[in-house]
Amino acid sequence: MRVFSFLVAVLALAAPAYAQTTVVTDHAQSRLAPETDGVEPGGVIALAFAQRLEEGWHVYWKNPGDSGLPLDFKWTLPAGAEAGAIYYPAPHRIPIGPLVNFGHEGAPVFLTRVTAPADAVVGSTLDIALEATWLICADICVPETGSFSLSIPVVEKASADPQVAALFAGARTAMPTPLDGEAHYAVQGTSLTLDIPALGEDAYFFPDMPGASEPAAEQRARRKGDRLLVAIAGGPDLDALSGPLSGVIQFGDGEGAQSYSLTAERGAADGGVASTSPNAAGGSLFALFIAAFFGGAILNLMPCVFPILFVKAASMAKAASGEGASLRRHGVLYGAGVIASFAALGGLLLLLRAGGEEIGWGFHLQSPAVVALSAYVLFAVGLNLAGAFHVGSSIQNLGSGLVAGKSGDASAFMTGVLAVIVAAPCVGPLLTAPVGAAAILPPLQGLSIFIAMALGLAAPYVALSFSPGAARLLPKPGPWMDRFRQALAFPVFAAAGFFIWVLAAQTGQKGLAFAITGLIAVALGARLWEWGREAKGARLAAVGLLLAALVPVSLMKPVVAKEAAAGVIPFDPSDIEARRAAGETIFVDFTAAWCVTCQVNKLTVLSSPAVKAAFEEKGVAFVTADWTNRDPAIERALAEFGANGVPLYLVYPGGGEAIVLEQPLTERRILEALNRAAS
Amino acid sequence: MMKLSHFTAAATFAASAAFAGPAVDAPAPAFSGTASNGETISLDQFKGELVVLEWTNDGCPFVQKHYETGNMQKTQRIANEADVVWITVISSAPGKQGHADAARANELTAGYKAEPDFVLLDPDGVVGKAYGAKTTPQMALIDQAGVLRYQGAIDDRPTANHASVEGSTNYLLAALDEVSDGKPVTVKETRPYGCSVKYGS
Repeated sequence: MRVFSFLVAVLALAAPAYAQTTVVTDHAQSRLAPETDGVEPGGVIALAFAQRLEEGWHVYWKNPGDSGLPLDFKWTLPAGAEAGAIYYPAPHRIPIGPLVNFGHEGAPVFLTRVTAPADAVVGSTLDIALEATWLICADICVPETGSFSLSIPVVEKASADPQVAALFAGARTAMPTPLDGEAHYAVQGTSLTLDIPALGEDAYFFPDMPGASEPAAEQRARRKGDRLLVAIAGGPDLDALSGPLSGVIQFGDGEGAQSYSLTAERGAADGGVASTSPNAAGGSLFALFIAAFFGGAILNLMPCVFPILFVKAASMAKAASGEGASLRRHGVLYGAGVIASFAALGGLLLLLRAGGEEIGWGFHLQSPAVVALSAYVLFAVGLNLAGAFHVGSSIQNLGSGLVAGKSGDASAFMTGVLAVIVAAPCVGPLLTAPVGAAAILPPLQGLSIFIAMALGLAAPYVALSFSPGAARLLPKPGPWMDRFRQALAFPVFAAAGFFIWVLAAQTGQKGLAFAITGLIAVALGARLWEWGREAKGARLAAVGLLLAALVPVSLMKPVVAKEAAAGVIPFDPSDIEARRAAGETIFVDFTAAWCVTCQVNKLTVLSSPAVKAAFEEKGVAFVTADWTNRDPAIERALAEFGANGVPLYLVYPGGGEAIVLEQPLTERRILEALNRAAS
Repeated sequence: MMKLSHFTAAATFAASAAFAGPAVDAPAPAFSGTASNGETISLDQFKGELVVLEWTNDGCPFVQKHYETGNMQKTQRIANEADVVWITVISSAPGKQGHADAARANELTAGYKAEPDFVLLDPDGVVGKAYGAKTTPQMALIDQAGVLRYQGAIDDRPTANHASVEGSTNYLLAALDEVSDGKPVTVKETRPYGCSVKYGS
């Protein structure tokens, strides 16, 4: 070191007075060198701040990582002169115990530039002074300062100084190259995904903004076609990130590392996240609309939705002889009810996600209060269908409601709302992809997918209401219809029972007791309402009772501790990592009590002898990620696999990357994935 | 739909090995350990009181800035007047810069005329890692209910330059004021600055 310092000192003395100045500090030698032999009036001169650091010591990049400080320049310039930004060489990761810093070792060269005043006189000099402060650390840290001054000749025509040509060329080689191609990013909860051209597989992203990422967290990159998706753990300042995200992406490590500077647009801010959106994944927004529309239409056949729709259609048939215009108006109002409910639910979902909430489709069903209310509403509908009570213009006697006018309109709208309430838990495999996409697309596009779904749900009935000819094809109204309507009460009671079962899973015995009390209150309320035909006070009491039934609802709290049934491994990302490291094959079942599809899969495919035998034989660890109640860790995991709700099924082959099972889930798909795991 | 499944398969879990702090406005991680006065202290015993944690390393120039200018001592005095339990934490591993046994820790406190209630000796870094302490100095404020209300830098001047103390905004004191008044903390989390905490591993 001593010899080197001496040499530097001699060189410094030998150099022309204006050309460079060198400062020797305890752990570094630093010099400031201009690229050209002078500067033109109004011209720009590039300057290199070249350091040679003591071995084992490092200085910091503009984002220093977990600790440290970047270079700080304080200029003293003549009036009219301006100094530019500091250009840093590509950073390296420097681990310090469990922390990671971003910085430079060896001989980093930082570039900057100074602009001469336009009125600088040729033949004079541009006198500039720089006080540079840098924090230099090995295990310990020392702030160092150096003062530099240069007198740069103002010339007619500046030419490159050959003595520093190699220094500047080397500095530019060490800078990150601007990335050729588009870069996008999306934030999901506390992590961010960067979508870049796949110029390599092993990638690490250094954000310019400190606190945007967790420097010590490993980043996972996955190739998809010619794109690379890099999953990055967000840092404490991720929330503050709103516009474009700039930084350096590094492929490879050490000597052969390739670094590119990039500015990634936020997915939600522009036209979409290129490859993390299904848009660029090969499908199109249009395909999603179609999928959403048909998924919505199929919802009409679900056991929870069908009875309501049938009653609606039947009442229409009854009224078919009546006015076509009001029939159409009711069809449109019903459609409006469906669309408004879907838009409200979808809008709320997108809004909460934008606010950083880690939620997905079905999120409202994670609230015991919503589940209990759904059960009450369905129970009341069932009672109404069974004929236990009648409401003036209820869906039951909509025929008269049509004549009644306004209240009939409200009823048609409310039927639409009701259809969405009962349909929500039935959102099945056909809709998981559109719903998942909706959550990460820009808000307007996301909302439009929800609306496409709503149109699908509303379409059959609305179409019927617009074609009176088709309505006449329906069976003739008669006494059979009343009996059929009464029979339909029972699927609705079954749906109410399902919600009560979900509630029991969410809130335990206490919640169940509350819910049953509430159901009795609803039944009593219905009866009182009916008695109210003679005694007015009874109606008041009925309403009071129904309001009272809401009190226990507000008391319902999710049971936090999940009881792990024998042989069930609860979801824990670090446990999965540990099992993967141990080479275990893992099956992860993302499920929820309120998810009908999940329950059906559990009772059929997952319980089939073939699947059970295969799990047994291969010693598969069956992990259950139960999302019945809110769980940010599960939400994050779902988001990272592009899903926005349950079900989702993963197979980790012994130690390998996850395989996402395609849906609908079949025995064959599970067995194939397990066989791939085995081979 | 087939194409969509590619999309589903595209992303993976973000890695879990981040060295991140606990969440603000959530219960502060429990800890117990030996203080330089020989007492075993734990966070539980201070329920009902405000607690400040201060990570320190006497060899770190950023810590020296705050102690040599008297800024840290002044902050401690103001906290003392507000009946705060001030715990200075030394997470440097043996053999690393800033490591202190009880005797050395007490000498440092006396030498700086510092006024912590306790100096917690954390040579294995357990407390530091539980709080995601990355730098010295680094601060944490825990309220009477044991909820973490502030974590991060002591102020808004990320430099070791002594002159920078003048006119700085002390984030810890601002948070302390707000918590004492029963108000929500405006700046709950900042990026700490300084030397890395000298953990053993």
